Amino acid sequence: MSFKTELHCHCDIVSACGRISPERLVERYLEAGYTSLVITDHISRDTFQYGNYSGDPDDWDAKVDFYMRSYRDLQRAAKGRLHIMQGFEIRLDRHHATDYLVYGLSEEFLRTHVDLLRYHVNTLSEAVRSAGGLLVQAHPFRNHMVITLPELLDGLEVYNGTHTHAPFRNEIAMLWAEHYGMIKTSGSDLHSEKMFISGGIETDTPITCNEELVATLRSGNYKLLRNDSLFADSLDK
Amino acid sequence: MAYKIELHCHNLPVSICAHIEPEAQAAAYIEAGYDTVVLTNHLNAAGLRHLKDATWDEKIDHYLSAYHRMKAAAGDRMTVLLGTEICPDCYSATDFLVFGMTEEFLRAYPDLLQTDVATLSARVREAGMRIYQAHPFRNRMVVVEPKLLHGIEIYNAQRRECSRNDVAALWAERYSLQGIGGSDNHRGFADAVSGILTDLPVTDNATLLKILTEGSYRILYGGEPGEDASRP
Repeated sequence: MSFKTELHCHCDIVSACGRISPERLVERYLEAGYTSLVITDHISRDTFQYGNYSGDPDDWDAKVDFYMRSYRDLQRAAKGRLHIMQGFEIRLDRHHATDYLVYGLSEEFLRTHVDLLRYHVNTLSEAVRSAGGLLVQAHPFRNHMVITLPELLDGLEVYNGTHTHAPFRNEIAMLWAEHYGMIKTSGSDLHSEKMFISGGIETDTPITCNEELVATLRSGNYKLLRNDSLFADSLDK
Repeated sequence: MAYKIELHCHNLPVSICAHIEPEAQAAAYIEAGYDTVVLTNHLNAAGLRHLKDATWDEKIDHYLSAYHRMKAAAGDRMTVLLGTEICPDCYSATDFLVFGMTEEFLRAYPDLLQTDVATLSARVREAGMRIYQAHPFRNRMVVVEPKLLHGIEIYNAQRRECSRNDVAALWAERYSLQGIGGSDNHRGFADAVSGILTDLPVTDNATLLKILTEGSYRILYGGEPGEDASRP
């Protein structure tokens, strides 16, 4: 028996680009046979400037309260049918269009790093690692991404399931991860009802919490989920 | 007979990371048997910082000074052409080689370092020049939309930085980008040898642009000519 875990998805409460409610997200992943889901909403300057956040722009705790709403609403919607874990997709202020997935950390990490978005990637890497988390670059060879020093990363997303992400970019990410001995991850990067669920990992036992997630990713004892046929008419430019 | 063309090199005082004066560099290239050098000094904020109160024209005067010195030093023994390795402010550490560069182009755009790559690409194309991303897979580079480029450097011979030329070659092939080679020489010839080999001498920008447009060259890999690695 195998168990599927999504490692990259968004919903419409926190991610300004999200177009699917926590309730629908849960139902779609249950229908697709997943047992676990890591919610990786965007956390960036834009999250609080252009999204649904209407609180004090200088109040980090209020921002974290807002950010955690997705996780809480997903937990509520899941009603124990789907394991929900907190992840982040962080875009630092100084890193032009470059996104980092963080696994294994939770609300406390956000609360204690009030300057998180102003960090350099070196500082982010150190903070995530010292807290026991994993830092993974999302869709690393998409246009506009910055090529990040491999030693600052624990892993690379070697499969990103969005239609604008060409298979060749995933191939380069796979070569890169193999060359540098990095953890390989896969994610659907789902934002809306119309997007496909195609990514994540498959394991022999269900992943039920962040500790198990980090241990599994470190062990390499999982299968990457992917569906390259989705990309037949992708925008590979 | 094959002609040896350097497509990527730097010297003082314009490239502050260089360790060689234009005259000494001209002598080194002549001794190494090059027929043509395209001088691609950095054009970026760091290199112009000491001129922060100067006008754009004064900055360009400074930028061109190394080119004029190298050209004078080479005399009729070697052709020296003006190129540029430009890093717009918003693309930290991402460099674009522009060939066919002219003094008029540089002077015409005082906002050159404040442009995005799409604008830079459009201006370069409008002027009939060509734009290539230098060492596109080094750390800290930005992944650039292939359609904005004529090509990328698939062989950068500098050994102090990891240019990941193998990835660049795969990328160029996938996106039908023209591959070029360059020494990225900041010193003499101890550590870096590349460029292109041509069947015709390259004595002016028009010929250089024609050869690049046609892809009628071979990349010089580490001093030895590679297989026909240029891609149209």
